[in-house]
Amino acid sequence: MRISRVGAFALGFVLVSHAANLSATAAPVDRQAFYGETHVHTKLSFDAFIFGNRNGPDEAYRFAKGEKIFHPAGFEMKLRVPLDFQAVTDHAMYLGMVPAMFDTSTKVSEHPVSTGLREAETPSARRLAFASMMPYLGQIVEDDLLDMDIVRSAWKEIIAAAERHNDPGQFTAFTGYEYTSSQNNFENLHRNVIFADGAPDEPFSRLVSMNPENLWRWMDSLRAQGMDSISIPHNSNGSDGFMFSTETYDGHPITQSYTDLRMRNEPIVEVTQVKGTSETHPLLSPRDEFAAFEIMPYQIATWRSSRHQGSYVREAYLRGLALQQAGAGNPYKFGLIGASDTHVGAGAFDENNYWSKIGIVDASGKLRGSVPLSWRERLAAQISRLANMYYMRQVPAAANVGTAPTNPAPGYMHQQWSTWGASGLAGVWAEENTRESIFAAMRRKETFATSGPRMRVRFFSGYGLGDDIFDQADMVSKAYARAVPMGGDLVAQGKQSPEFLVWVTRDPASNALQRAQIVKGWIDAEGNTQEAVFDVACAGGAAVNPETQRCPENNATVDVSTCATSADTGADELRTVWRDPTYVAGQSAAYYVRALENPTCRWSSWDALRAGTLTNPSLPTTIQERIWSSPIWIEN
Amino acid sequence: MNQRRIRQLLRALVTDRFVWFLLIGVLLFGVDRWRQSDEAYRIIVDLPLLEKLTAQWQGQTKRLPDANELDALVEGYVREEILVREARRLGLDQDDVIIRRRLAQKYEFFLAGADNAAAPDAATLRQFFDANRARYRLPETFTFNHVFVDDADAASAMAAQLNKDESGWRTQGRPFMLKRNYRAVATDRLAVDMGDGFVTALRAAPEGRWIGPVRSAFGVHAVKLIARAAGGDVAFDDVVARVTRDWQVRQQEMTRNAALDALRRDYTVELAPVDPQP
Repeated sequence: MRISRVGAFALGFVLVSHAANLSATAAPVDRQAFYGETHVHTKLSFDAFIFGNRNGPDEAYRFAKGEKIFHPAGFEMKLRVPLDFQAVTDHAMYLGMVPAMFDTSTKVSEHPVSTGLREAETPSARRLAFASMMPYLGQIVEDDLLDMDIVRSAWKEIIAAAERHNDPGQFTAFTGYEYTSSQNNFENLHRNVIFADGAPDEPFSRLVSMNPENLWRWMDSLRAQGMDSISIPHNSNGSDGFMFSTETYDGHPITQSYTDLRMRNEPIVEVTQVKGTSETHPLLSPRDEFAAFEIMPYQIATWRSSRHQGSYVREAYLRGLALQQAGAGNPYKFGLIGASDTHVGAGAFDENNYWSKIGIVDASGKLRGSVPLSWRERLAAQISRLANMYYMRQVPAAANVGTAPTNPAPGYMHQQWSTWGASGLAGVWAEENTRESIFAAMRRKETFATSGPRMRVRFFSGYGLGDDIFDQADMVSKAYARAVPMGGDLVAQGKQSPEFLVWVTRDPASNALQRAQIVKGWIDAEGNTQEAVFDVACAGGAAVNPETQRCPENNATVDVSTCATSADTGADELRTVWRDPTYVAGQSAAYYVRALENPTCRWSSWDALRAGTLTNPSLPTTIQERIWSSPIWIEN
Repeated sequence: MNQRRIRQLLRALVTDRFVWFLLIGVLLFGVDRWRQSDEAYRIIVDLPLLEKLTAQWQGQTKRLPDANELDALVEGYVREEILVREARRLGLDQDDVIIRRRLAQKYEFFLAGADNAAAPDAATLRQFFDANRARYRLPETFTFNHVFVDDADAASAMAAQLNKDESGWRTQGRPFMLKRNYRAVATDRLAVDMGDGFVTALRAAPEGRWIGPVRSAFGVHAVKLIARAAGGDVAFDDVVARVTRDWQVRQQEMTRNAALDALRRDYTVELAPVDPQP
């Protein structure tokens, strides 16, 4: 089995740099699913501090290990199950934002807010200009070099906390930070940079360059010195189409060298988090009836809508195939993980134990729009809405983050965070719970994402697996020997479809499974990109309808007034060996697994149930929790 | 009042040292105010500042600035300084939530102390360990092998067969997504993997032989419990590294809290009376 160039590079690197550290007995067959989180903000992030968070990196790691810590609103936060690994990823500081905005040599100074600030002459105009920055805290500029002593001391503290809490075999703590970049108008290009081991003297910030390609070059240079890292993009949903663009940051066509640079540094993408899920959008996948899942339609920290083209990972996989066919290589050959992006040092992964993520701003059901307001609160909300509309008229056009659209459910608060959710978790298939082993799994993309529950998925593709492989107890070692795991490239052989081994197990503490699906993206004979969703295994062993490629309805129900679910339907485990009925030899394609639980109450319904009120009619009342594997690509 | 009285009074004033003291004081105060008001419009560019600007430039570009660039840096600094002073004069720094928080944050760093480099001695650690014994208690654990099978009958048959000959137990039964052999797994973690019922069943299981059926969240198993540990207190020497780590974290917290408490004693907090709402 041939492995692609990028794969070979990654694998070669992993083998060379880490082989010595792995224990002698570790082999692919020993890989287990470890769960973790690669996106945590503590009080060291300036916005988190403003949201009232006083939990530092130490508290965040203690929380990950299962201890209880406190929310800024005073209540306890504790995980149902401790995590196996975590990276604290704070925005670097930003006090230098104002100087940078006044310094006409920086990119950010060209921003209308900056111009407004420089041109304001009267005190009231200045106050207004200053105030116009508020909505962008932590979004425009990340840190300033004029205050590097503070930045360095915070960074030192972050590294020290990761070292203190890293406990090989028990708990892995990575050093990381968030590179909070964007296009000129706040189109989110945020990424988390995770270091394999050790860390540089200071993080590469947005003030050095807004262009992620320069971040990758910096990571390349560290790698040349023996310090490996990866960068994990997140909230592509709020990027207004820029995260998975068909052009470079500066608007040039994508070339092979861009592809190589990107793939060396960005093997995985955060597909789901509190601020929505970025798998696909109903307008991109009109034939996928499960596509409307936790959609967050705005650009980050604004009310502006985010273009869906170029903002979702499924479409990115298609674009990658097309770019590859056009000779530019595939810059979007990435695996998937989930994370929370919590700003209180503690991820909320369970629908029934949810605290959203921005501290005192969204700490209660009323603030999140899941519990109705009293008439007084409604009045206050109206007044502040009108004031905000008036105020937004005063700020320069491009700095205008927009005003809230008409509230679809008067009586409930309507905020961006009403569209957020209790997601997500990162899964990795690694030999052992160590930095080396988990980082290597992320490099080779043997990872998966869940919307919160601890489901597991195995996904292999190859030839000669055989339909009876599930009857063989040494199935996993056979699968590794005869097939490639998730995240890998399979070189096509012959005319027939390769076999796809799909195996999903439930979270014993969450709901039973409803269906396992394979999502396929490919390029057809006319050169157009296509996508299709196949149900491949159904609860109760039901057969998939070959016409519709769907499982029969299993009639699982949720009683939203009690959040009780039907106990008599659903599977503990779904498994199959699948062959693609639409397979055409010679076509490039990517396949990934998505598996759905039976529906359960969404966090907003839990909030309403606890408050003894009706649910917000504009929010979904139930959710089908799910898991996504990294894809396998068919190479010809 | 006659002239003589006035002259007398003047003389008394002129010779009075206190009056001179007051006069000189007023004079000094005036000069200082004058100097100060002048200072407010004077920006000094000195060597330490140039060094700082150069170091920042170097951090960003990895080289020294040339003469033009240094000029630009100084000009930038001067402009910034002017803006900062003008902003302060307008009171733009007052009640600014960012500045307040940032100041508080800076001071908190300051209170925490950079490093707690001082390594604790063994007696201190021992004391800390004794005081926090509950934290280091070992969990209840099980060590076992299991085989995943289709149903209850298959489980009893499998258990019976493995009790006769257990070689090759790893290749028996159905594939299982999780581990086939757990070593010293804590019961709370095991419950997460396999469900609560499985843990309850293991508590009642005998050691050293295969039994079945044992139910988990996924189905039915044949299980051989190899060892169990009730958990409980742990020896100091086994956890000394963890104790050291925890002690350091605690120490840092205590330093910070103690410093804040000390400051707090200098302050009184008053609750202003609130007018009753109409």
